[in-house]
Amino acid sequence: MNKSKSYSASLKRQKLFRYIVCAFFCIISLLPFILLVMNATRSSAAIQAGVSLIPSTHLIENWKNLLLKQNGMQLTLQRAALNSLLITVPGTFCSVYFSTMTAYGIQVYNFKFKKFAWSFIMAVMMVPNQITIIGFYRFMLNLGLVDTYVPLIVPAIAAPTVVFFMKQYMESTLSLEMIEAARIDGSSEFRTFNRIAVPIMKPAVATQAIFQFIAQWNNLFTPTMMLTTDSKKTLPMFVQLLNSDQFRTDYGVVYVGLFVTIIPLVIAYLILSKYIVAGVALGGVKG
Amino acid sequence: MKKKKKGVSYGKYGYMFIAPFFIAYLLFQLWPLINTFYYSTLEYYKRNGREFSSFAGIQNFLNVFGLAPGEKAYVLQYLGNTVTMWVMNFIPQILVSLLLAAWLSNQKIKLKGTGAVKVIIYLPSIITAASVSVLFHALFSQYGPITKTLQNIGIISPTYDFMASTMGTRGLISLILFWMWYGNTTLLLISGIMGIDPGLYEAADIDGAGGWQQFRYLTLPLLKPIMLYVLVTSAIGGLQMYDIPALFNPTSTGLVGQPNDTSTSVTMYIMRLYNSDVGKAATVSVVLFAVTLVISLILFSTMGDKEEKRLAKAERRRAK
Amino acid sequence: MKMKKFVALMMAAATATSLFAFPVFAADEAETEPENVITGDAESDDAFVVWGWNDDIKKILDGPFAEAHPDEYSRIVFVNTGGSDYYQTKLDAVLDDPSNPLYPDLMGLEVDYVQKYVGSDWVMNVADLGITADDCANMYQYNIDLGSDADGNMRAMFWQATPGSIQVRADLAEKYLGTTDPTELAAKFADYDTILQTARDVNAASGGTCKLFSGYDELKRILMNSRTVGFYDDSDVITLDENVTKYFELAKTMYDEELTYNTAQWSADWYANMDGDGETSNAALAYFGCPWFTYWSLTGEAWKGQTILVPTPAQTFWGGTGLAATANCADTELAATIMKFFTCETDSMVAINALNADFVNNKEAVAKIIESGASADGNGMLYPDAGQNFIEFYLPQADGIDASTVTAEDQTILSLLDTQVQAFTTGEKELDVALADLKAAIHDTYSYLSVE
Repeated sequence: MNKSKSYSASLKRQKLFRYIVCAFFCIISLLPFILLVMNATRSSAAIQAGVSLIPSTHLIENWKNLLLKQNGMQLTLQRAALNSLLITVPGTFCSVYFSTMTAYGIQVYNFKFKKFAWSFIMAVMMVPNQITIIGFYRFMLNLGLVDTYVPLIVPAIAAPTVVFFMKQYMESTLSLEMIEAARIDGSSEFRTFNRIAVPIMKPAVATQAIFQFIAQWNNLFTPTMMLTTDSKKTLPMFVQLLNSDQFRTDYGVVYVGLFVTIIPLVIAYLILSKYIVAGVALGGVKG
Repeated sequence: MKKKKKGVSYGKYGYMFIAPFFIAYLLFQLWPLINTFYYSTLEYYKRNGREFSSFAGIQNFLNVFGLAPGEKAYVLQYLGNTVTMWVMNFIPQILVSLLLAAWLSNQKIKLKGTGAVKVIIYLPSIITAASVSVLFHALFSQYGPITKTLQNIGIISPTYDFMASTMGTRGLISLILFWMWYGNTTLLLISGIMGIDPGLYEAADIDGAGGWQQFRYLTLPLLKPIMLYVLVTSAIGGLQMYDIPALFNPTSTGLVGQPNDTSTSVTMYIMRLYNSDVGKAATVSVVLFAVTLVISLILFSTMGDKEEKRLAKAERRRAK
Repeated sequence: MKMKKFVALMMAAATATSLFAFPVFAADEAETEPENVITGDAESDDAFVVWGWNDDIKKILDGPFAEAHPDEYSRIVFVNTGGSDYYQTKLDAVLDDPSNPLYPDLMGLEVDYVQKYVGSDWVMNVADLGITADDCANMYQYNIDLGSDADGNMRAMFWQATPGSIQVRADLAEKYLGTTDPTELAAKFADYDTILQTARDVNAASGGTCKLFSGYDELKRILMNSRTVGFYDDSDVITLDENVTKYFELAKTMYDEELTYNTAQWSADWYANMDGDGETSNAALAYFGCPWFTYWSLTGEAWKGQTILVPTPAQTFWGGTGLAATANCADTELAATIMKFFTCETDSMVAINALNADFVNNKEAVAKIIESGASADGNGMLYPDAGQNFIEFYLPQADGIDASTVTAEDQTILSLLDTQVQAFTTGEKELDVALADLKAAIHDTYSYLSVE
């Protein structure tokens, strides 16, 4: 009796302690965002004075200053966001669609180099893009494709990690009987893939689409090398400008600039968090 | 079991389905990789807008490792910077993640709101690293609000400047990496823990093993494959680190990570050289490739085929 | 879960509204500030594209040039790359791509890298534009040298002369140095040791809330632009002038004795120190400057009517923008018209001075300006009681400028120098190590420059 009482008390203490630690890390994760939002609403002078969690009234003023400062520049925030979409949407489509296709090809068909193909994909999964970039850049230069979106979109077709994920998922969900039945109904192979396999794969496709979108949206390295015309640059490259002469003289402007690049992502994340958190558990993204 | 019979006459479709991937891979990854190796054998640079190139053998490699007279081994220095910043982020990251993963998945001391905690701690990793970097720089710069506040309450001296201190800058870059990725690692470890057969814990309970003992002798060993996975993906990702140091505290021209070049990563170096000195940039890439390859090989040899299969199986189970 | 979704949706709606609503405001704003809006249509057949890293050139195009040549002006498309940091990278890429609709016909080039373009195949000889030596008769010789290649062909032309000065804020000088008299102030900046002593005096008088300079790098341009040897010699061996060593040592002293706030030039903190009051907020009493610095950078209220000009301890200069027509320039006639307007014609250069009080690269125009008393107070910037004339002050400085040490790689080399100076001041490196590392870093960036 006594023992169980003290046990439950210690359990309670244990629990409380764990809650405090968890809360601490939640605050750590959220604090920079809170400071960001607060500073975006404050004047440059107030920001310099120190940290404050009380919002102020300068949000619109800071935003207007940002627009004023980017006036006449080739790359505006709005333009950069649009450019990012123009790259990320087709890029995401390429990587998810063709990866599903590749996984399907290996899963469903038998052919001579099937094993080799799969081993190859496994082997190159870990090879990062950064180390081939010099050759890639010169190759694109020779093809006259530097400063276009082609080198940012088309190579997304070959995404080994997505293929790996799709194949894993197919092994558990895609039954060959179903494909066979479609064949008997006279469906062509590609039609079967598009009409039967892809819909079955929807949850995996959605998860991978989200992660590919995030990864490509956030990419800075490749666009920095490939794009030279200001009006073609992406949102992360615009963020880089916030550190340049043009903006950094006004702290309020820097924060409001960051605010509009970060907060939409936060919102989208909160809406999709259920899928994203589940997706991470599946090994969806690389660190 | 019976798939052999079915697949065989459709073999050509297999090639058609995998063709886009392989064409794109050969064209945009393999061919550039071969070219990168080729460029590393050239003395290939620009001066006043004109390109000069000639065959140089292994001279570039001697140069970047500081083996030729008058050369300094910048690659090793930047590799050192990169590894230091990665290690400083990874050790706390894996420890905190293990702790949180153990707690958030604990079935005996059940916490409420674990879903919300997972959502919140994962949040930073989806944000554009470039934005995060600029944000932290703004907060911690010489007159930034956090610096000012820390000075005012006396945690750091009134003249302390994170950006002028090697430890300060590296520490902050590691902090950003930690902050961005510990949520991701926690979620991966949770999925690993959930994949462990609950029967094992029941057996341990019957044997009278306490919470810590169960963690130490059951959870940790069984988590080994997923921890290795985390370690290797993080290490490979860490070696390529670019966005955060490149936007955190570089000089205005030339991508030199301040202070004193101590926060320059290898990829920043490649970026610095790619257009002006193609030969050297390619050489640095080849070095980075070699280091990455070694790390991958260590993974595969440590993990072995068996564990790899088990990991894949665990992932499959979770996928359902 | 429901609640969270609701909150998220509300936030999404709010952000969306803010994103789309505010540009409407901005459009209104833009109408009242037409000088910031881009002119011209890059798609049009007769577009004439001009590149710059800020809108300095554009302001002159929009003002005096538009007035004198309205038809030509309407064809100009101005590309402002926003910040000099990556200007060269952007420029090099577009210069290699003449089919780009934004390929420049004319471009602005800063002194720190103008020699790179002058020595390249990217720009045109001004003689091919029909510009003669006679047209350039009134230019300062140092600017002619900067714009000419190794064979003496002029390929870039400057509209400014940029003699250096130290610009002192009168209210702070009164408070912490006890004088606003230009002669007495000049004595406090007579040589480097005196400057150190002056900095100590300011520290003592203010208790550290006001310092002489925002950062020790205020001395950088004075020392670097008065070197006697460039960063490499004729056989491409890296050479470091004794002024480089001198700068390292001065920076170290200033750092050790906390004589400045250790800010970097152009940083937000450096700007912030311009506007401080020296009591409740940190302030810097003086900045290294030149004529364009006054109208371009010292724009805060604190400096209006408060600027006193003091000669630098050594003859020096800072910056200046060259104009160059590109190899594939679509309209050489218009290029020549603009270049002559900016850099040769006396009347137009007087008009440029009227726009922003700049010191123009035309001796005849300068004489006229002084005679007419135009911009005598630096467009309201100078401290009236000091009795200085903004242009006349610079006259002796401008005559003595020697820019023979400038190389094509200066911008990057000076940035590499900053890194080593910082490492030395903070005590991470000894002087000889820092200097050796500087040479190594220069060689690492430009493999054709050798250490020995």
